[in-house]
Amino acid sequence: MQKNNLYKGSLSTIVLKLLNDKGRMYGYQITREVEKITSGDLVITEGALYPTLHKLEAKGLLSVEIQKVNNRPRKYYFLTEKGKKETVNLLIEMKTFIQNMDILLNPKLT
Amino acid sequence: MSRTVTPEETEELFKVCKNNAVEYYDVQIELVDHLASLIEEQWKNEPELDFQLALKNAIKKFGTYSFTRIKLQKEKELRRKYNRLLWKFVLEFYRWPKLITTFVFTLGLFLLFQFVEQTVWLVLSYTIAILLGILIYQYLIYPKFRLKVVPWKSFLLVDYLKKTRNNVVILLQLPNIAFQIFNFTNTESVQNQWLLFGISFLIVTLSVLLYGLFFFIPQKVKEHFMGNYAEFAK
Repeated sequence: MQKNNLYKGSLSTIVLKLLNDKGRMYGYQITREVEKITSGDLVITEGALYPTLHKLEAKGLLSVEIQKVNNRPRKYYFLTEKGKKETVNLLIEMKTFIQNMDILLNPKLT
Repeated sequence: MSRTVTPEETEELFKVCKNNAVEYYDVQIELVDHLASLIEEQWKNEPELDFQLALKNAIKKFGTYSFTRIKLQKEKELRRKYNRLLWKFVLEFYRWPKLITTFVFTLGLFLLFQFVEQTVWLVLSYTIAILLGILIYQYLIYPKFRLKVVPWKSFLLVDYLKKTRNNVVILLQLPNIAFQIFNFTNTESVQNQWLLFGISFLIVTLSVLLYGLFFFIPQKVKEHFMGNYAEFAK
């Protein structure tokens, strides 16, 4: 759980990156995909995922479409044009952050 | 082919959401799908597992607190979404090319103030015109284009629209507020040209804002609703 706290601020970036790679996804699929990629290291709770998806949708970064699957409606999320641009920016920001963290955690002694 | 949730079981999942204070269908659908997916995941390993038991496990994993949290967050985000749209709509009137129209109306009003000595009466006339406009809108315009949905489902989008419409009651206080300001400052006629221009600017901005609130936002909500839930519209 402590481990997951480190990812909290990055949940939007994780979701956007996944949707950028997969095209469109539904909530449960996102949680499973994250678990699969991280080999179960990162577990996204429903209580954190859906508010993040709704926030991104309200910001106009995501759009939704509803389809019937297995006799029930399923809500798919996908990136809008604004969302695609934002994902690029967030990924650059994230890479810079990781590089800086790496420098901070592994300072080169002179 | 592994076992999937039946339509009857899906209905039960909708009831679970309702019992956990998520009464809106547009919020329920993804929670129902999530619970159903959690149940079906269990059936992949244990196809004979009883639905009620699988549901119990799914709710345990989901957490009952999550239902309320998701619902409240969704309501907040919906308000934010339409507030953003409204402000974007208003700001459009201060950008090229709509800026010309805004400027012409502001200037026209400013010039009108030059001819009318009693500023207070012009402002009060405007606020009373808004009141009449609201009454005409509520009883004649709104019923014609309001979102009509089936009675057995409730939608957050529809509820948002109702609440927004009910909030305009605050505007009924507008003539009183305007009168009190003029009374408090003991002013009937404003001579300062900058102040007059400022009042003109405020009146035009308020008019654009009200137009957005009464016509633009309901239209957007309707579009969003019809885009996803057209089968529930009457």
